[in-house]
Amino acid sequence: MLFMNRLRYLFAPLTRVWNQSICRQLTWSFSLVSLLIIIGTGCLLFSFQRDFLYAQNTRNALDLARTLSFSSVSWVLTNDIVGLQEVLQGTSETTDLKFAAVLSPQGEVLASTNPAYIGQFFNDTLSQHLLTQPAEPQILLIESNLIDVAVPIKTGNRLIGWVRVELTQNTANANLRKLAFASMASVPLFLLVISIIARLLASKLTNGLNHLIAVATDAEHGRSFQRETIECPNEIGVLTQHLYRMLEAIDEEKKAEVQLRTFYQLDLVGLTITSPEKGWIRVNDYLCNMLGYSEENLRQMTWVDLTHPDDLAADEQQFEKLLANEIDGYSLEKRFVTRTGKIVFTKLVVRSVRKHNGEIDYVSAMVEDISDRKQAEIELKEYKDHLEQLVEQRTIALLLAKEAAEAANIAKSTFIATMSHELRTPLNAILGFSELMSQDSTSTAAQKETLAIINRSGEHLLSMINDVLDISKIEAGHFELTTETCDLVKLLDDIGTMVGVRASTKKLSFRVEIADDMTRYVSVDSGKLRQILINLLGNAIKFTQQGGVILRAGTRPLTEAMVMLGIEIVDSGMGIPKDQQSELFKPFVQLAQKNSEVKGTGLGLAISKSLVELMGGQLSVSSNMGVGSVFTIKLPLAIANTEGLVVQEIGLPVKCLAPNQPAWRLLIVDDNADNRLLLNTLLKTVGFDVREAEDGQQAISAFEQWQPHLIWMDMRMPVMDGYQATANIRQLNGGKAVKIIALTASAFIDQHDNIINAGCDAVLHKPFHIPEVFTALANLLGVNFIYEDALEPVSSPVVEITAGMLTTLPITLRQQLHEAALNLDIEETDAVLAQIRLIAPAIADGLQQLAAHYQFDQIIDLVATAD
Amino acid sequence: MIIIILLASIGNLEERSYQPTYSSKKPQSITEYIVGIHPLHNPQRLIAVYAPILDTINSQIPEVQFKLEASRNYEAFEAKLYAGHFAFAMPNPYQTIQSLKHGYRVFGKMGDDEVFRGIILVRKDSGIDKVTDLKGKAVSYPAATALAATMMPQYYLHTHGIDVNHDIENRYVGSQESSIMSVLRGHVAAGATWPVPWKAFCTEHPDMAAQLVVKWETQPLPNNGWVVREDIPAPIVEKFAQLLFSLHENPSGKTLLAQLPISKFEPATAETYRPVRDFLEKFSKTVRKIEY
Repeated sequence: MLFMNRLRYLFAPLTRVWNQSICRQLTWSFSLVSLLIIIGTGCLLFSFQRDFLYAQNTRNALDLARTLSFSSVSWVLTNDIVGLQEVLQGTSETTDLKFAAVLSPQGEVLASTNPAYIGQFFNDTLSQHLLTQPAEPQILLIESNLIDVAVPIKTGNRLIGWVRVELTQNTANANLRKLAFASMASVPLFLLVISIIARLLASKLTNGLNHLIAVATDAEHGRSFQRETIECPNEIGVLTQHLYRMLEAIDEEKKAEVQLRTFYQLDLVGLTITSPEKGWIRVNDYLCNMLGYSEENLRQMTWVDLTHPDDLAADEQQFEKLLANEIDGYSLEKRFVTRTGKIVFTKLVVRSVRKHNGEIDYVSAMVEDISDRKQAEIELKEYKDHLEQLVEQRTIALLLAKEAAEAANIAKSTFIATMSHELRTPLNAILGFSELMSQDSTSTAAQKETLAIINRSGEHLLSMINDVLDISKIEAGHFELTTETCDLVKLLDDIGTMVGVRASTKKLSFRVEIADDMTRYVSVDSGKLRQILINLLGNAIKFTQQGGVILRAGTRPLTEAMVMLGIEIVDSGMGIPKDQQSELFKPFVQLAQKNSEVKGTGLGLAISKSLVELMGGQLSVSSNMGVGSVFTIKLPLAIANTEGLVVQEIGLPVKCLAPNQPAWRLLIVDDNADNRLLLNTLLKTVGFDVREAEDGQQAISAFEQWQPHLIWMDMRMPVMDGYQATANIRQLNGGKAVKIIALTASAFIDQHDNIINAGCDAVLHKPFHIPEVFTALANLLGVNFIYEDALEPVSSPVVEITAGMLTTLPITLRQQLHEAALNLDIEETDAVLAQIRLIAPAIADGLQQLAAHYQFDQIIDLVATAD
Repeated sequence: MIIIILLASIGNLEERSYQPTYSSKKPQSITEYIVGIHPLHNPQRLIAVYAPILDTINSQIPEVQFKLEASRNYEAFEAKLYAGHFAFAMPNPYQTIQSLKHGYRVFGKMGDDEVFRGIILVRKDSGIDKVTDLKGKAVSYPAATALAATMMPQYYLHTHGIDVNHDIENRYVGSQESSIMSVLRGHVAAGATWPVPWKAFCTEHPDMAAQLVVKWETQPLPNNGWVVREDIPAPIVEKFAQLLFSLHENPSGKTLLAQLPISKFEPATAETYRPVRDFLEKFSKTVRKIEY
């Protein structure tokens, strides 16, 4: 301990000098460490070199001994001392050789480079030891200045002597000495170079530090510091950056403090610092002025003293929360009472400033004079109340208007539905009876003509009603689609054929372009699609005077199961003016045409567009005046498999019941006497047993008494309607077995489900066609009928027309029919058919049937074939 | 401090070094008898085949040590023999007779006298057929004083149509193997040797031996003799001779003899070598003058 203290005392001046300068510390440390490394490396290399040289000398000695051993064999064997001496003498000039000798196994020196040894016996321990060793090369001695080795002389395995060689290490040692002296000589040089390098490096390092010291000193004395760009990325550079940043931050802070002080005294808002005991600590001039006291005065008071008594409780409550550390701040509006007793409205924003232990240090507050705003608020509130009242009144008025509009729309739909029902019901009787009467063979030709007019007018009326109904159903969202599998190619070809003939008569070109890859079978309401295309193509042909019409169709895949059907109807007509294009699809709008012959409801395009949209597609038009128009349909369709294809059958007219059948009892329930009579007449004529009932009540009685096989049930009746009656009958004995066919004039297919759910077996829509009645009977009861021969020219509404039949017609009528069909003009077709009916009612009916289904192509085909 | 260590390590190089000490006193004092065999093989081979025999004898007579010593050539051997360097010696028949003048007596000899004859080798492809074909060419011999390998072939050639002193060049190449190698390498047209080294050569180098053929053989004479210096104690000579002559009587001895290769050693006297003395006389008179 004492020694350590003394040592410290001795080294104290040195430590002082050492500690004075980092530059000195770095220089000395670097120099000393480098010198130590160089000297250490030198010693290591010297040691390696020495070992290497000594090992090499040992090898040399052994090699020399081996050579001598080999050369000596014969001389030793023949005991030729002179020869042996000559052999050894040859090696006497070998570098560093001390002596070489050949010894007998007994140790006698037979020959030697050292003449003193010849004929002597070595008697030292090392030499004696050699004679006891096995006949292998022996290293007897390795010293820093001597190597002594021996190699046996052998013939076969017989040891006949030893060759002993001693070498000094003088050459190696001389080399080593040179190396050592050279190394030692270069040490001062190294020391010098290292010191210079160390000094330079240390200066470079400490330069940066010195600069930093200068900067720090300047900053300390408030002088603006010289900011030199220090580009070195080392610790000095980083330190400099940080120092600059720190000094800048201090500057910023100073500036900020000045700004803050200026802001504090700004004539904008009151600022104050208060104690947790509610006393004023600092108050800015603005607040002093607001309150009418000097800051000195205020410091003697608390803010409680100046707060309006009514607002004190609220403020104190919040302040207590603040003290309890529940909140960090709060804001409220309160009133102060000034020195002069004036009341000032203020907005107060309070924040607590806490010490590290969470205790409140002081409370700062911002006090805004909001007296003006308060006044404005009061006025605004009055305005607002008035405005709300107004809005409420308007809202009520609008609601009433909306309800009225909705009610009107419902009323309209209901009106149309009811109207259509009411119109179709008498039409059923009109069409049915006229059809029935025309089948009566007793009718005269004049009567039949009259009947045909009645029938045609009825059909026309029906088609008008259907159009109107379509629109109203579409508008009411009641329109139903019947999708089925459709062969698109066939449909387009059929329409194409029909339109093509029509176009050619008008000297217009027409072609159908169907894309090769078009999907052929799709699920679609083919009747509606046909209706749409015929309508559009009919229009195109109608309004085109020269050039032609193209029907272009193709599909592109949408998904695996869906395709997009694209159809374009291109014409070279006069075109549609831009301003009228938007009007085109509106119901009951007909564009002003030069050709005033054009007739119709003006619903065609509206229905077509609605139908396309109902199917999920789009119908659009583009047109250039004088160039033509393009109607484009885009319709997404499901791909169908061909299995679902249905071939429509056309029934033959019924003549009478087939023999050997039970006496079929049929009950007709309908409140409309005409319709009862129609059905009664129809069925009785064929041979059924028929009774009637006027309402549901009567129907139940009649069922109980008479047990009919089948009931025709009108669904809409007074007293008890068809739904109720059907439900009741189903509960009666035998009520399950009886077949019930509902009759309805409702145009809405969604009622179909209600009817079937009520217990009916089938539904027949009025006005019905006679074959539908018989088909239903055949399906439900299995009634067998005898049918009229198809070729018989009887007055049957469903007679199949052949080309042969048409040859009986006058050529003029055929031409007129042809033209009307080509024009796809239902009205014109009806007019021609009326004339035909005068001559051949059956043919007219058959054709009428085709026309009713828009099968103008067949009509055209038939006429063409007949010609 | 480091510099001090470095200097110290360099100074260390100068330490005082080891010096062997010596004296002229032989460490052990057992009586040693030098046994010399004339250079019928090169020294290493000679040691290889004869040293085992001496090892056997040494093991039977532990009180003295027999040391085999080879000689580089006939001259060296003869010099040592005539100087009395050897206690025991196996000279060739000519030297046997000569040794009697230098203090030696005959006590035994090699058996198998029929192999002690000269043979003359030529290369198979040399085209030499008759002795006279050698005229003007060189013939190799081990040494001028070799009896079976030099004098007997020279006498043969001389008595078979050529004058060895004029018609051919006689080359004394130092040893039996050298004589054989000289003819094999084509340095000489014919090489003289005797059957024992030839048989050994055939065994050791069959490929090279196949290129040569024994063209001529001389008449045989008594084989190499065993002589002893007259100052050697009789009991030692007795024991040595007895062990030597009974080698062929036991299997280990037979193995040693097979290396020479001879079937046995046998007792002999100076009288045994009279035919040799007669041959030498003839040779000296007809071929070239020699001392006998």
